[in-house]
Amino acid sequence: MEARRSYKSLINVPKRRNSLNATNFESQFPGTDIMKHSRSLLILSPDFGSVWNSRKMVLSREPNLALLIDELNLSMLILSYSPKSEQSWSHRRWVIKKIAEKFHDLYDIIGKESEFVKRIAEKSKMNYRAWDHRCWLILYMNQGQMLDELDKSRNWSELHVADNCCYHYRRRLMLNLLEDSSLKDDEQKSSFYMCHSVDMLKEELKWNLHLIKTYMGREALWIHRRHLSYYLISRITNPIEISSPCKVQLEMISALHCFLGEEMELVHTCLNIPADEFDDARAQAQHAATYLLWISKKIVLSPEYRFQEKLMEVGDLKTILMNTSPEKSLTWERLLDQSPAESEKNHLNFQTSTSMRDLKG
Amino acid sequence: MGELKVDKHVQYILSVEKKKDSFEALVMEHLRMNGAYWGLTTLDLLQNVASVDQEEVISWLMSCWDRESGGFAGAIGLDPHLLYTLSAVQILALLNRLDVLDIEMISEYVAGLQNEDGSFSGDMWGEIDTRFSYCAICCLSILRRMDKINLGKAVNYILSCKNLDGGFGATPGGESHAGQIFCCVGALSITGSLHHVDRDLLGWWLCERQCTDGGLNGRPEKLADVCYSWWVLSSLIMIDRVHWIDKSKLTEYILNCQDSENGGISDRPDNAVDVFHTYFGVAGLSLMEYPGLKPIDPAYALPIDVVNRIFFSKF
Repeated sequence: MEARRSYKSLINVPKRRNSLNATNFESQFPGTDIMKHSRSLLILSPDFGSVWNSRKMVLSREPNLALLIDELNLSMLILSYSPKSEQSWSHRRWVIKKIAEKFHDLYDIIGKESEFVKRIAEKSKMNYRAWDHRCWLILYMNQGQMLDELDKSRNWSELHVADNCCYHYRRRLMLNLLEDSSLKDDEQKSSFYMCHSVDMLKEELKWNLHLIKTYMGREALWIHRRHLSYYLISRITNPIEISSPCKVQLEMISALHCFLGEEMELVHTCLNIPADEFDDARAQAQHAATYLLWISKKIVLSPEYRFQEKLMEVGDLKTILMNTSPEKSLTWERLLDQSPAESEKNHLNFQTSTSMRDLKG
Repeated sequence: MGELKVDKHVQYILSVEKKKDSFEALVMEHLRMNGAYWGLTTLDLLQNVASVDQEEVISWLMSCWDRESGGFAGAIGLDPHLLYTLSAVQILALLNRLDVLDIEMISEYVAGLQNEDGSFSGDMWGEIDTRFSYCAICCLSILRRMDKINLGKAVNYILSCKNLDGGFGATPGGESHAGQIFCCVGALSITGSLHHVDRDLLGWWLCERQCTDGGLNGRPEKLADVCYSWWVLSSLIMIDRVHWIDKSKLTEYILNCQDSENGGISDRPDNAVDVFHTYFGVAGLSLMEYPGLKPIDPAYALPIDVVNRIFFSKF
């Protein structure tokens, strides 16, 4: 009841704030009062956007590093018990942008911020706003910081194998690193980064394979693999990269064959695990089957790679999907039974997306 | 499973409106405009919008209009935002009272929030999200003022948020999320730009959202939630892939989330009900042509007769 009364009495704060532009406003209702009242109001109702706005208005008048840091502390406190509060996350970004404008060096802040999201993510699983915030921080990171984040998030991801967000975050970091390297026009440097980035993807694939085998039936792990395979294949079959002195085309074709061979073997193994009491084997087979669908639909290579033959070795895709997830039979029937003209059109669509530029998006 | 408890849901929505002074109502006060849109649209889908005093609604709604900026706030005296501006315009379209608006001022407000890269900020403080692109485009389309913005750039920004899996996120590179997908596909649909969507790929991603309990989730590894019945289904309809999912299991899931005694629909069976989930449950059933409900338009999120009235009448 007490809370309710204080809420009612304070609800007028934003109203009065409307007259902030008036010259005599400061004497009627000083900034410190706004900061004090809005604070208690936000502790009660963290998504009250207008109240966050009244703080932004006061802070815009005289930006001061200490006050802006206090502001990060307040939203940190609020997010610790209300981790999905979108307005609090948004206010945080506003404050960080203000700090970036006025006081340039964000290195420490970004590091702490990422650490903070990690703590929130422990308590609030797959929180879209929190992870979106962490991905936004990448904008302000240098290459070293991105590599460091990639390194640090590895352990956490191993402990959260069902968290699609943390793998998405890793992909964002990797794509930003790959993008950075593809911008280098110096030929020698470019080939160095090229090998380096293929190695980075291969290493991630190896780690992901280990997790897939250890934790059966995890959708997030398989989705991560879908993306990684796509990145790797587009990278090693990209004509510009192939012409680089680092690799010769024959090596590339053989690398691709080798990779696809291993992937088909993985799918084959996962499709044939004996049933268990926890349904994990069934889930693993389902994800392996849709992984095969992804590779066959999403990756289109010229006939010289004899790609389709490789896929057929595992068996007929539609039969596999119908057997592993019969409850989605409507999807499989519709997706795979299209007129040739329609399917050609779709292949073209899929094909157009294999450049690194699109990978960024 | 039982059937949709139409009368109970009407009673529930009317009762929420009356509990304005409860603590829950006060802490949610800032988004009352959204609440009013959810409640009134549900009542209309249930063919019961006449049970509210429309004049009272309009007079309250207009008191949330900020004359200075031209936008609407979530409640009286608060700051304007695109989220509430769209809800207000949708409510007036629903009640066939767009004539009370200063259309020029509102469309100027919305257009003024477009950024150089084509994206939209939600308000003057600059947060960007594809939800705001949808709000702006849907709002201007209802007001028939689409010429106020740079449409090409707006579409390109949305496309820059498209992911490898065919879905869309809140910003470029953001994780695909069914709610954001609805916003992006809805905006592309309204602007006649759906040819940019890879329908099979996105259709597959959306169908993967159906869980074994029949309900839909919004992202991989999440539990089903009634609100995604709307976000996922409407997107599937817009890209012509709704026949790819099991509609009877989804209908059963939504009906299982009803409170059959006191009305209202919750996120999942046996949880507490709220207006938000009641709206999305009823709207989802309407998309699946549940008997007795008005059909709803998947892009404008308004009953189809309302959308027809906007575009086939002169004003």
